[in-house]
Amino acid sequence: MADVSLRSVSKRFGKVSAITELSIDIADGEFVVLLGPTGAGKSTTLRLIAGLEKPDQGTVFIGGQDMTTSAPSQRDVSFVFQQYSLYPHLSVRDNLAFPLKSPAHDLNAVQINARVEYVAQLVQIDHKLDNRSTALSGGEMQRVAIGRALVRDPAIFLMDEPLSSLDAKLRGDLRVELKRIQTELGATLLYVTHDQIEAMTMADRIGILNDGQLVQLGTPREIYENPLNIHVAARLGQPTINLLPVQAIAGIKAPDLASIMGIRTEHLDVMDTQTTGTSGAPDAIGRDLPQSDASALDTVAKLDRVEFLGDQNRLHLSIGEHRLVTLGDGDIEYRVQPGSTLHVRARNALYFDEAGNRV
Amino acid sequence: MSSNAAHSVVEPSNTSKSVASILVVLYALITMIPLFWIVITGFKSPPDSISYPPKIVFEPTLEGYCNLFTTRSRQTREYVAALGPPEGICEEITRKRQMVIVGKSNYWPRFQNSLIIAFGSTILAVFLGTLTAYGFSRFKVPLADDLLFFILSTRMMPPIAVAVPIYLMYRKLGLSDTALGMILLYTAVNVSLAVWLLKGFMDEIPREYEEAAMIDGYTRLQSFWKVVLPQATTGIAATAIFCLIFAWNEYAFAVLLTSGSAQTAPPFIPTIIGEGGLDWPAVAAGTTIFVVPILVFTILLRKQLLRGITFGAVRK
Ligand SMILES: Nc1ncnc2c1ncn2[C@@H]1O[C@H](COP(=O)(O)OP(=O)(O)OP(=O)(O)O)[C@@H](O)[C@H]1O
Ligand SMILES: [Mg+2]
Repeated sequence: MADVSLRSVSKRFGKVSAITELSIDIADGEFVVLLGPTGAGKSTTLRLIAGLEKPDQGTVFIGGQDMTTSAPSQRDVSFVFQQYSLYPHLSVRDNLAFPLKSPAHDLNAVQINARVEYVAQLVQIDHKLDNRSTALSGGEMQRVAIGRALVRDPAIFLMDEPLSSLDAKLRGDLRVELKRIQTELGATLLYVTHDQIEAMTMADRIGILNDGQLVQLGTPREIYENPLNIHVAARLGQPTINLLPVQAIAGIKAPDLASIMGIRTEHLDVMDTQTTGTSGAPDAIGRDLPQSDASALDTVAKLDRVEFLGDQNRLHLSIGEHRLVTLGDGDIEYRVQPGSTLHVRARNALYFDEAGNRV
Repeated sequence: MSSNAAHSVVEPSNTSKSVASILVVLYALITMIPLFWIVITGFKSPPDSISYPPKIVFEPTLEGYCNLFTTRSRQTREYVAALGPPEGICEEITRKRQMVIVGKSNYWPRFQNSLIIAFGSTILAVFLGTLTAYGFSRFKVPLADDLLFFILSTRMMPPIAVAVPIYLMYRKLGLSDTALGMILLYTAVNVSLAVWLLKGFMDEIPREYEEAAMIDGYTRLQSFWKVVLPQATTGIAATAIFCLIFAWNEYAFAVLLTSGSAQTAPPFIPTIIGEGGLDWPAVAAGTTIFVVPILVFTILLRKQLLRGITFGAVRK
């Protein structure tokens, strides 16, 4: 394991600027997740580190050494691809052994076999070692693909959405497993995903990529609570953060430069106006209504729709022409009907200027 | 493909399947008639082979095969009778016609020429085609499309159009009537086909496989060898069969450019007729033997051809 650094790396494909001036330091043993929309340059970043692409400018350091122009085979990295994981002409065992048989390693058959068996147990595929790699389910293939990365002890593991094509349950299981394996091995890992739950639960630090630029890098909590701009704020949070123009709603006392207000769903509290009208009555939504910030939203909204998701309800509200989403308890639909008016209050609002930067 | 395909809505009904099978079998039988005729003619006696109406029931003899491999001379009855007991079946058959075997015919050397030239040019064309197709498929080649079109354009002319310049060129270069010359010529014709066929197959093999191998510590050449080639076997097998069939059957250039030591079987077989009168059984025997290598090659590679391309390990 080793640390990996990119120093103002840029990469263009013809007219498309895939990566612009990207710098990042990944410490030894750290789990960094890259999060960003499609086309943001996540895969390109991994490929630059692996040596599958040559940067137009900038430097790639692996273990303190300048590796910018080295061939992939010299870089000592492992890669789990977004797609095409296994060699179809080889068995599971041979797929796992393939990296160990390379000229980069000098291992005998006994050592290779021991290592393969160990990793097969780690990713729980040891019962299918002698299957053809084509005779596996999607989840099993993915275990083997991850296993093939794990048989080596590389400077860094690069994983490009390794779980994205799996069903939700398996993804959840493998996510926990992968984090456990990483902690056990003390592995350095750069992991690309679209899935914010994967990002939040596995990452030591999250890097938010947009349009080829690293917008923000920090712990999951920093990124969630202290986003630098609207883009970062909208990346994390399910449902996404509510964004309202500050001028649109009367009575908001926002900071001077603020033009847009962002309210996370859990900071948007609602109560039934009819019940709150009679003093001291309990909150219609069934929870205490905390004090709002002095400056933030405190107004009425119309309930458009309730989405029942089992553990929670999503309330779709509108304030004038603006739409908001917040969370309600599981049984709220028995108490309020779509079309009724609710009192809404916001806490911990985030403010952004016209360019979308935090103020 | 599997058993549950029978429940598929796009699966044809049983009636249409059996009608289709009957038609296919009929068609196969009709196309086999000439081949069948050639094979049985090889076992007829010369009079049977030209009798009218044609004979389907006849007494089989190896005369055609004996005549194919030998040269004979006619002798007087007394001379033949004075000879010792015949050695082998061919001598026996020949003596009945008052002839003795005086030597071997040229069929076997010509057949060997065909083997060397056809397989040599096939191996060379497929080798060059594989590397070229891989290059075009994986690297940024300047003017790639124009180059590929140029490569294909060499195949657009009929052989007769280039026959005279090639004949003159080969005479100057001393390549006329040499196996090397024929191998080069057939390779040149086949390599365009090989490049185009194989480029399609190479494009279908995801780059990620090689990239994974290169990250795992292999050089590009090693990953080509260990990862790309095994997955390209289907395409290589198909290409090899097409190239071999062309080189094996080629007649026009062979007539023009070979006459002696490098002559292949196709121009040789018709000359058998002239040697001993209308010796159709010998011609048929030569043709039957000539078909065998292609048949064997195709049967050997059938598995690769039918297997289809394995994209099984791709997550979709
Ligand atoms: N080989 C290539 N040739 C041309 N353009 C490319 C190439 N690879 C990537 N790009 C472009 O670079 C940009 C970044 O691509 P990249 O694959 O890194 O995105 P990504 O963040 O991984 O997206 P996704 O989440 O969809 O996988 C995109 O605009 C893409 O079209
Ligand atoms: Mg990608």
